[in-house]
Amino acid sequence: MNLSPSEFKSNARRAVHDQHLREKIKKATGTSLVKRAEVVGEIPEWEELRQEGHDRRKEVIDNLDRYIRTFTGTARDRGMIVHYAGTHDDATKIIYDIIRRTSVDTVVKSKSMITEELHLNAMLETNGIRVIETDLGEYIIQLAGETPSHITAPALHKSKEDIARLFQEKLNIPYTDDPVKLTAVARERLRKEFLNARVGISGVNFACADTGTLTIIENEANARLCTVLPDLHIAVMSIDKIIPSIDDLPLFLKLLPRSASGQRMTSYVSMINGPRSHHNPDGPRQVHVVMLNGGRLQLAKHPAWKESLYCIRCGACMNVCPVYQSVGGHAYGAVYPGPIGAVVTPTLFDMKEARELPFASSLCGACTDICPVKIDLHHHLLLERREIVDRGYKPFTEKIAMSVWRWFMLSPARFELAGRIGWVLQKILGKKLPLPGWTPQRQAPAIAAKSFRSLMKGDSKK
Amino acid sequence: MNNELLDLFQSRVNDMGGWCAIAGSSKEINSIIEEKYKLGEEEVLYSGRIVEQFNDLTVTGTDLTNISPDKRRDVMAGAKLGITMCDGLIAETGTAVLVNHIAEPRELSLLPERHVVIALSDQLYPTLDKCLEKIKNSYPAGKLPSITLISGPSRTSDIEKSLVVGVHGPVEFGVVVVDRGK
Repeated sequence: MNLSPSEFKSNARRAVHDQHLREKIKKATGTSLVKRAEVVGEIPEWEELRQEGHDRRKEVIDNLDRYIRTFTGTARDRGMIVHYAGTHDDATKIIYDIIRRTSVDTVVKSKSMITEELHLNAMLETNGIRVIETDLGEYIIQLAGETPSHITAPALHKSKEDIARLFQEKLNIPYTDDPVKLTAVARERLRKEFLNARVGISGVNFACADTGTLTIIENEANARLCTVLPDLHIAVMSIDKIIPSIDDLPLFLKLLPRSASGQRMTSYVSMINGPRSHHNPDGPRQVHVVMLNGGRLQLAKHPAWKESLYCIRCGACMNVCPVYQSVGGHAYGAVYPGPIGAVVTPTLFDMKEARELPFASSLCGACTDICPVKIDLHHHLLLERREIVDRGYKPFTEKIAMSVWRWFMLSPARFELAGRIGWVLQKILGKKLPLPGWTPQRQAPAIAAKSFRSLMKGDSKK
Repeated sequence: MNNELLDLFQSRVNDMGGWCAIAGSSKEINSIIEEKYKLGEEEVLYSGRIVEQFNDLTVTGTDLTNISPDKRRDVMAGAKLGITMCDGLIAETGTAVLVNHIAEPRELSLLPERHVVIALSDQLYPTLDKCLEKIKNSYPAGKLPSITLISGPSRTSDIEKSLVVGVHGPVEFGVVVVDRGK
C-alpha cells in the first residue's frame, strides 16, 4: 500500500476488496460504538457538555498566542523546560539534542500522535537511538514495521492470528493467538526496558494553562512508567493541546474516555506538575516539554478551518464513518485517518497532495453528530472540496463534466433534453452506460421512455 | 456517611475489574487484605504515609520507608502487593485520586503486581471536580504536586478489542474504605 494521501483512490479500492481487513475493522469499530453509546447514554446533559467542550476549545484556539505564553510561563514556574518548535524539523532536532546530551542509546516511549507526525522514531533510529514503543498496539505495529491505522487503536487492522505470527517470528516465542498470553509476553519484555530506561518520551492529552499541568490519559500504565521511572521525561505536544484551566479537566475527562473507548474513565490519568522537587518528591529530575506549532498558529487564524484544532483526538469519528469502516486507516495514507484526518490533512499539511481525502465521505454527518467537541466535520469537508476545486487541484475532465452538468441543469428544457439523450444512448448501448467511476461497480438505473415531467404535463391536461 | 454514594463507588470499581471492601475499623483492614491475598511479610509493601495516618494499624508487610532508598525500586518491582493511601475517591467513575507524597512514591502504586488503596469514608466525592477543587485549595499556588487518577487495574483492548486485564501496571486493584461509623 502506498502511504500517500494522493493514492487514496487506489488504496481504498484495494482495501474495499480485502474481505479479511473489512471484517476486522467492522468488528473493532462496532465494538467501540456499542460501548460508547452505553456510557454516553448515562449522561442526560451530554449535549450541553459537548457544547461546553466546544466553547472551552474555541476559547483557546481563538487566543492561541496568549495561551501559549501563559502555559509556557506556568510550566517554567513549575520547573519544566519548555521548548517551542516552529516546524516539524525543529521539533525532531530539539528532541534529538535533548537525548544526545544524556548519552543514552535507548528510550522508552508511550503513544503520541505528534511523534507520528514528526516521524520521530525513524529520525532517532537513523541517529543510533533505539526507540521502544510501549503501548501494546504501538509495540505490535513497531514490530511489524507499520504505521497506526487508528489514532487510539493503532493495531486495529491486525487479527490475533496476525499478531501471533508476528510475535512468533520477531520475539522467538511459540505460536499463541491468545490475547492474554500475547499481552503477558509484551509485559515481560517491556518491564525490563522500563526498569533500565533513563529517558522516557510521552505525548500530552491536555496541557492546563493556569497550572502548567501535563495530563496523560491511558489504560495500560505504560505512560506512567515512561513518565515516572526515567531520570528525564520528554513530553511532546502540539500547541493546540492547551486547555484554559485545570478546572476544565473534569469536563474533558468526561468527554474523552467515553468517546474514545466507551469508558467512564480510563484506568489512569497522570497529571504531571513538574519534575522532582521539594513538593513533588519522586519522578524524573528533568521534564522537557516540546511544543510543536507545525502550521497550527496559521490555521488557528483561518475563520472556518480553525475549528479542526478543537479536536481532542478521541477517534470516535473514525469508528462511526462508513468510509473508514470500509477502507480502514491506512488507505488515507495520512497520519490522521477518518473524517478528522480528511479535514486536517489538506489544511495542516498539503492540500494538493491530500486533495482526494475531503471527497472520501458520503457527507452523512455521523462524524459531526458523534464529535465530543462539536466540530462541524462534514461541513468542513464540503468547504475544503470547494477550495480544492477553486485551486484547480481536480482533473480537467472533471471540470468539463461539471460544466456540462451545470449547463443541462440550468434550464428545464435542457434538463428534458438530457433525459432524451440519455434514453437514446441507452437504446444504443444497452444497459451499460459507460460512466467511469460509477458503472464498473454498479448498474445504471434504466431511463424511462416517458419522463416524470412529461407524465405530469399529461395529467394536468386531463 | 452517604451510603448511596458508597454503593455507587463500589459498583463502579467492580465494573472496572477492581474490588472494594468496607472496613469498620482500621483493625479490619489487615484481615480483609490477608483474606484476599494470603501474602507474606516480604511480599507486601506499604507506604510510610499509612503508618502516619493509622497509629493503631497492623498490616502484614514491610514499611517502604524502612528500605534504603537505593534499593526501593527493585523491591517495589518484585513485590506482590503495594498498599497506599489516597486523597479522594470518585463515586461516578470508581476512581482513586493519589497526590504525590513524600512517604508514598508513585512507583508504589505502579510497580508491584497488585495495588490496594486504603481510604477513609469521608474522602468519597460524587464527582472529580469537587475532589480536585479540594486538593487544589490545600496547596499553595504553584506547589501542587503531581496527581494520578486510578480506576481499576491496568488493561488493554489492543488485540481485536478483547479486554485483557494486567498489562504494564498492576494486574489487580482494590480499595478498602474505612468507615468508622459503620
